[in-house]
Amino acid sequence: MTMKARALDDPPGGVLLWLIVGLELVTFAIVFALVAGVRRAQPDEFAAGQGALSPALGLTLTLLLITSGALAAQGVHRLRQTRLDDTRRWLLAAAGVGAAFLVVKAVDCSAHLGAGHRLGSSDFWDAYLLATGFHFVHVVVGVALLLFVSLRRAVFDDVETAYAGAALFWHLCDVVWFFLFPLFFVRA
Amino acid sequence: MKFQSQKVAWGFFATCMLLLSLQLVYGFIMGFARVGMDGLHEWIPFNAARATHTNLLVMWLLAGFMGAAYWIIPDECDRELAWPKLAWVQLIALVVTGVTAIIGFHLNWWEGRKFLEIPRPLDFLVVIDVLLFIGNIGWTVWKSEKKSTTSMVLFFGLLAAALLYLPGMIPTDNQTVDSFWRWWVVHLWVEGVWELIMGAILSYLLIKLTGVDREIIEKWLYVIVGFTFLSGVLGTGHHYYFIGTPRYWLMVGGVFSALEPLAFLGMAIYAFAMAKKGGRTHPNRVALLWTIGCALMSFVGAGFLGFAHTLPQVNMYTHGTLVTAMHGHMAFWGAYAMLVLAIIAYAMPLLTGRKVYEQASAGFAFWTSNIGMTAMTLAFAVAGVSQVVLERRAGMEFLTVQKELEVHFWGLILAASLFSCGIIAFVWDFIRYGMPNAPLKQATPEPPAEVPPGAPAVARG
Repeated sequence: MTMKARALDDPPGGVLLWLIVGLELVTFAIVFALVAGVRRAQPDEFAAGQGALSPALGLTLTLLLITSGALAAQGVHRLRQTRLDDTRRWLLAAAGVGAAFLVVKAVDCSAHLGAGHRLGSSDFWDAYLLATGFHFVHVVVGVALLLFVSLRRAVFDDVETAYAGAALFWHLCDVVWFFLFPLFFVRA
Repeated sequence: MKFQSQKVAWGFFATCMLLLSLQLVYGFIMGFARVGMDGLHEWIPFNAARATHTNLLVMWLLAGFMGAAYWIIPDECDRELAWPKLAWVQLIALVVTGVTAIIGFHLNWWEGRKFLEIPRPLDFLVVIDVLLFIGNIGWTVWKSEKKSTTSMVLFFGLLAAALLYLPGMIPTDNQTVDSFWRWWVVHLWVEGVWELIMGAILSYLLIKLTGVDREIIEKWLYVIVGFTFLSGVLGTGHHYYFIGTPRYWLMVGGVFSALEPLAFLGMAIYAFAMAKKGGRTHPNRVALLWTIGCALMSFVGAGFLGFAHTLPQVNMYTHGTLVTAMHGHMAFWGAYAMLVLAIIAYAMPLLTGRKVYEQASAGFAFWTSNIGMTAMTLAFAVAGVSQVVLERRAGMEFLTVQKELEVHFWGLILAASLFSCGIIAFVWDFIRYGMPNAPLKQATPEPPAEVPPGAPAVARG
């Protein structure tokens, strides 16, 4: 594959996935602006809501996603050396740590819901539950993609594109979290 | 035309022409009523005219989609329609139901639920009619060896549209809950599954008219339609502002409706790119004009003008004003009316074997109706913004403001007259095409859309 062919209409992971990731980034940028707007407009309510969040848990979630992202990056690194079997193992590891994120986040969410913090409780809880819930859905899709490309590689004509695409989507999930984490967990 | 059974599409298209003409009449009745010339009030009160105007629109668009499906599905599936006679029965049943509903509106037999005014017993008739339609095209697709992306997307779009009619029938005595479900029908149609139908019809037309490879057209169109669809589903939130639903809908609606224009912009850029790539060599240039026009005007009307009042901060002022009428008119015109007119402009010469697209009136119909609709939209925009300022900002009384707005309705009537000239030309052309001849075997074969030499046949990606 020459550099020219890789230029614009055939990026690693496929042009469709780059378009999706672009659209997702725009969507999440609007979400960040919205959360920042709530934080600015209702500082007291926001601070009260943050009081109910556990910074240690937020940090744990962040570390899980960073670790998982690093594992996926290792996989892409092997991909560039065309060591596809190694790539597969690294992506599976990334999916495993991603699944751990899902478990921890689900526990966190059910704890908040159990404590009476629901949609409609306040603008803070609307923002927190919707934004992290929307991110959660993306992580579910990301883990599913990683598992699918690693376990069912036979269905792909172009395994390299499938691996690179899944890793690309996975990085979308961690990049987005890096903005959600400070917006919600860092206190004024 | 490849198959005899495609002829049934003509019946549906003729129904479109009739209902569209009636829709214009009711538009004028309301326009004149707004400037005080309300002589028909005894027989056609404003609420009946309003319900008739919007329901006629929905009716003729659905008839157009059905006609398009009866035209496209046999062509794409490479076989005759499963039950052509049933299609005629289904058309007659649809028209009878529609006419009953419209007469009912004038006798105060209606539900008073915006856009879904038709009374409950008729709802069941609509459901049965649509089931017959879905069954007919579904069986045709099922029995066919050839299952193209276009025909599958068209089928599933129509099936989903039929299923989404059902939430509107959920019984409730709570106004807010009723509105909640009502928007499932209205919004998830126009900004959800109708987009699939639109994607399929546009893709069919672009394949036929530009000569660009099917794979390229289908792949990219569905990417863009998929994006529109995804942002549109949660975009339903923008109908839940300030109607008694929970506050978080402001956030959900705001975020996802803000994305909707992007997808429409993509669709417009894409249609232009395909037309340019194909080199526009198909002789039916008017059909291509309607196709490209549809992609462009749906961006302006649905994407841009929708965005203009979709954020909660703006909608707090514009909710329920003529600003919505501004958006609604151009959005429906651009996305769906032009789409149906495009498939009619494409299919009619093939149905009748007469090249009416060579007439000057065909181009006149396109340009005049579009310029007229743009002017109507501007008239609604000026009236709507004035209403917002006087009523919501300055706090004037509702009816005092309506009196102030009268002058803009004169502007609207003038613009609508121009628009009507275009539509009359289109309908007149339709009548001049005549009915399809009985044996269609000798009808002119479709001229191939030639790709100019040097144009890339296949693009990677």
